[in-house]
Amino acid sequence: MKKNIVYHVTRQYMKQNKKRTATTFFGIAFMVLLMTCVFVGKDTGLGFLEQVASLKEGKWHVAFYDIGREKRKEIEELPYVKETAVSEYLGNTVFDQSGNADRPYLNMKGYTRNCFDWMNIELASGRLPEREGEMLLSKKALEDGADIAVGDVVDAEFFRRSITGTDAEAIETVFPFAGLVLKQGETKEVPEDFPYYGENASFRENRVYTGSKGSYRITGIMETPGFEQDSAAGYTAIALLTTERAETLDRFNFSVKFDRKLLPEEYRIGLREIAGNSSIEFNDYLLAFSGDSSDSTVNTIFRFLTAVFTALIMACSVLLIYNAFHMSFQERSRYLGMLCSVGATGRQKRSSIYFEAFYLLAFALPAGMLGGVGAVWAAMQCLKPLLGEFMGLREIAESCPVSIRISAYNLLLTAAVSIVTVLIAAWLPARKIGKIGPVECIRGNTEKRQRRYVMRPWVSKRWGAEGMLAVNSLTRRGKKGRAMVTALAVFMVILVVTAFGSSAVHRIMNRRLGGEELFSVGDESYDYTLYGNAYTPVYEKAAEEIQADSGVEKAVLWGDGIFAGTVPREVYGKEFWESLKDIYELNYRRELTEAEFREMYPAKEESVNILEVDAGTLKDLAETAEVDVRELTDAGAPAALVMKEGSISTEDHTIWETEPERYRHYHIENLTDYRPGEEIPLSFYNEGKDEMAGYPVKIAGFVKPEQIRKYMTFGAGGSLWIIVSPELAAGIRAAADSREDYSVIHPFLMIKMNGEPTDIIDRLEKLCDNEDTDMILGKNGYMVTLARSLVRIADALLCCFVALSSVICLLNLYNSVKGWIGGRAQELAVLRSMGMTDGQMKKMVFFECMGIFGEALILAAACSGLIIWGLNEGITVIFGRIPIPAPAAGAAASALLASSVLVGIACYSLKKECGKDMFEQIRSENV
Amino acid sequence: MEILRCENLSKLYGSGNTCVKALDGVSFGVEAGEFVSIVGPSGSGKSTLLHILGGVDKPTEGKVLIGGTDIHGLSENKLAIFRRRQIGLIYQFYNLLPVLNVDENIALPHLLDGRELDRERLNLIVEQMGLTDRRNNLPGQLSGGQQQRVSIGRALYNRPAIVLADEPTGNLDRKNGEEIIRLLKKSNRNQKQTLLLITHDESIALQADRMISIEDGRITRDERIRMTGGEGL
Repeated sequence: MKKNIVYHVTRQYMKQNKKRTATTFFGIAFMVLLMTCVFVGKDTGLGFLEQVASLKEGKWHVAFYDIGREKRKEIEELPYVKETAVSEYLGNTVFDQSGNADRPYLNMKGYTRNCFDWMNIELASGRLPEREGEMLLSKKALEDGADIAVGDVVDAEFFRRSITGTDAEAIETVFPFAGLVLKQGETKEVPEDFPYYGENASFRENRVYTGSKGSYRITGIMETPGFEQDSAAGYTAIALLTTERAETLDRFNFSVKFDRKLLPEEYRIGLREIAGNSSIEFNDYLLAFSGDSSDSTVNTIFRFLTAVFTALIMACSVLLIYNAFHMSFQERSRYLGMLCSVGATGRQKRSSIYFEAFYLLAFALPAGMLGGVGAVWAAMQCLKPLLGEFMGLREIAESCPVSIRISAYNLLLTAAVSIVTVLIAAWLPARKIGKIGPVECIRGNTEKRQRRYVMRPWVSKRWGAEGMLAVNSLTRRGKKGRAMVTALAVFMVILVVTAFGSSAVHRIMNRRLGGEELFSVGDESYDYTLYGNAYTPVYEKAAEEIQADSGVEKAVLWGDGIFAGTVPREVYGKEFWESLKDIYELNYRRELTEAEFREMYPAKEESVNILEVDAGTLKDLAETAEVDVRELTDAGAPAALVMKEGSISTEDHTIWETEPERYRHYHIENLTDYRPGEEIPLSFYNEGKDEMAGYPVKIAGFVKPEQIRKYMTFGAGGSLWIIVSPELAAGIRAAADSREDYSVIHPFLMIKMNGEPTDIIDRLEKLCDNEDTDMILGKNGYMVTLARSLVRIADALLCCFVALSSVICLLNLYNSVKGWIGGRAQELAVLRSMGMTDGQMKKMVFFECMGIFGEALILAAACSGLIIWGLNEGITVIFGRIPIPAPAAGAAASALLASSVLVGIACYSLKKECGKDMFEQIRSENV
Repeated sequence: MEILRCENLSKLYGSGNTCVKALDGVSFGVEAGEFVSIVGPSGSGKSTLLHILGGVDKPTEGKVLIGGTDIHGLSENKLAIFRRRQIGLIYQFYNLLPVLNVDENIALPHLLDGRELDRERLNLIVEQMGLTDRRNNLPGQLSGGQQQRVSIGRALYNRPAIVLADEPTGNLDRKNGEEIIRLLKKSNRNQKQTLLLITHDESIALQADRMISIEDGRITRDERIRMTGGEGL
């Protein structure tokens, strides 16, 4: 067999240099592992989220209620409809075997076969219905003591329930949870989950028989379905709806699963049009976690950020592999020089590098893929409860098995990206080595420069011999130190860019998905908020008790008035009006003249919001705004702090019967062009006099969101917020003639706990349960919204990304530093033989580290700045103007971390080198 | 006056069956200003002896006294300081710092001692070594002979008590070799510099005041060729 001598020699050399070969192999394998994590991990993660989300509401994407056959046909013909299922509501039937007097019925439904799976119907015992006349019964019925078992037959005669008002004294009877208001003599149909009240004085329950009857054999008991209400009058029973029967139904419920690849952007509008008067429901939770949040802006941003982060991983990998090749350049050039001296061409020399790279890749690819799949599995096991927690579905998530989604497409993509990455990484050293002549190769003298290097005595005078050695080492080694600089810079860039990306994701998700309320209290400042009418004796008494409780650190009264006052149009500044005009143009899809806009938006007055804060908070805010607090509390000369920044978006300002061309967000630096000292002609509605009452307020100073974030945050809305003292709030209340039942500023009590054991919160919750008190206790920052879930999941993914890319960066850095120190083993031994002490050696390495760090810092600052600028521009184009703060803390932390890691690895490597035999080290390179 | 004395020096490498005795009870003394050549076949233990004398390697047994100080009884730190002040080492492969120019390489032991650069001394050494026009070059830009001259300059700059040279001409052609020996002899004669030199070359060895032959880690011959600083017996 013909033997390729270049490949043979390369292979022999790889065998001899096991350590170097292993380093390169692990570099490549780790890169493949990362790529596998990106591609397989993304699918697995999304699959898991989708699976968990589907367990909450079901596996359907959209459901149409009470539609006919024509609409069904129209829906089925849509190109993106993948699967359909039919269900029908049969009605209630009397359940004689019930063991619970409050639940005397069965709530019967009919499901086609796939519907059982789509609605997460789970068998507790028995089997699923297989033919008409078979049904499942809710386990709850048995738990409540129903005298029935699998195999029993239920004779059903279906009816719909309604109620008729019978209380002659009551004006109307309200059922808040059913959304029903019933007048005397009036009859209304009730929803499926309406409770059973038996005989009572207020209303009478009626049964309207549908005429449908049948006998149903119970084939199985199902776990109580998630949609079954404990308070409902009937237990859920589900019969099989055969396909043949489903075809004959005139009215039915129709569920659909999409082929998401074919889903058009505005599919919701089309589906709503088809639904017409029929009710339609989107499974938002599932859609949001299926990678289709129904919001093209968020998807585009996520795709954009994913592409950036994938590119960063590729860049890290290229650097790692390139560095591994570069570090062994000298020794490699020696054997290639020998080959060259016996006639190897430049191409053959290059092929040696490519051979080594792809030979290692051949083994690293399966190893990395297997490792990647393992890493994804391990990561998912760790993240499972966390993801569930973020989704507000911890229990479901924990019991949900993780299935690794490996597709041929993903594996091919991983292989392709890995091959490209290795090719790029090997190309540079191959190109360089191909150009070097045999003599330079053998002598290892590839630098042909003959410049002169003048001694700088001031360096040794200032920093000693250690400083001189370090400076010369850094400035005279050419590209040898570059590997460390780039490794360190990339490490910092990854951390800084991720910090920025994380912040961007937060802002965008919060703004876009409505996670940010108009006004919210900073999570750190207060734990609970007690809402209610603060002027009632119950509230006053409760407030007194709260303030006196040992478990409460402090409780203060604040107040808010959303759109409480109005100001003339001129108070709002140029930036606000320009942004609003933009929104109109996006809605009307054309440019508008100033006159047209004025005509479309003729309002002469704009509303403002009021926030009343307690004296202590006001003092802090005044200090922040550099305003004398006494100015703010003088009711005789009303003055207030004003939040100058704000934001509006196409979603905050909707225009009747129009749809904006696309979503756009506007951050407004100056909501008003008024200056401190100027007076805002504020006015409030006086209910007693039924007229507007003027209450001019002087602007004492402006506050910025970041200055007051500790206390409060203001969301989108585009209205000016005026922060007032309790004295000024009292003045406003008086001007607006506020009374017990009407208040322009609604007070609420902010409670901060001190961690001492107390039952005050339990007692408050009980008090709030009593509807008569009209009080609500809210835990600040408690609500798990979809936006919050997504933001936290995005955070977790970003953390994983940082962890993975940090590993590759650290490996790269470790390799580079080890190479840097190890490559100078003989030099260090000579220095020791000449009388350099360990302390001096450490000092020299420390100086070198600082030099490398300085260079890396400049490089990282330039690269991060550029990437962040690009990201910012991209986000602005896609999303709109949104202030994303420069990641200063992230940058400082990454610089600190990077410098510590560098010094740590360098000291470790130096210690190892110094521990070796000096004599052997000096001799080793010479022999 | 005896400046160096080694007593019963032994050096073992490895253990058990693979144990190799590089030095086996070597004892001798060297007078101040003496030029001693050490000869012997490859693997006889010459370099090991020289490095043990220079404090670069440690003996398994025995003592090395320089100016009355047992150098291997010193701490690592003190030994390092001792080396840079009292010992000048010259290697066969020069072992210059590749990132330092000629001036910096020569002045390095002095600078490591935290002292200010003695420009006059530096100029003198550079001139004596014939490196005036190469002083701003890095070692990689010098010939082998020039590099070895830098190495000698570095060893002599601090006026050490003893200069130890490990086959300083082994990597050079005859002309450059002779030039190196001339420089070393000059320093030995003019500055009464004690010099221990390892060589394979008999003609170089015979230029010393005294010749010690080593075989299998033992001194087989120790003969005086001429009186210290003299012209031969």
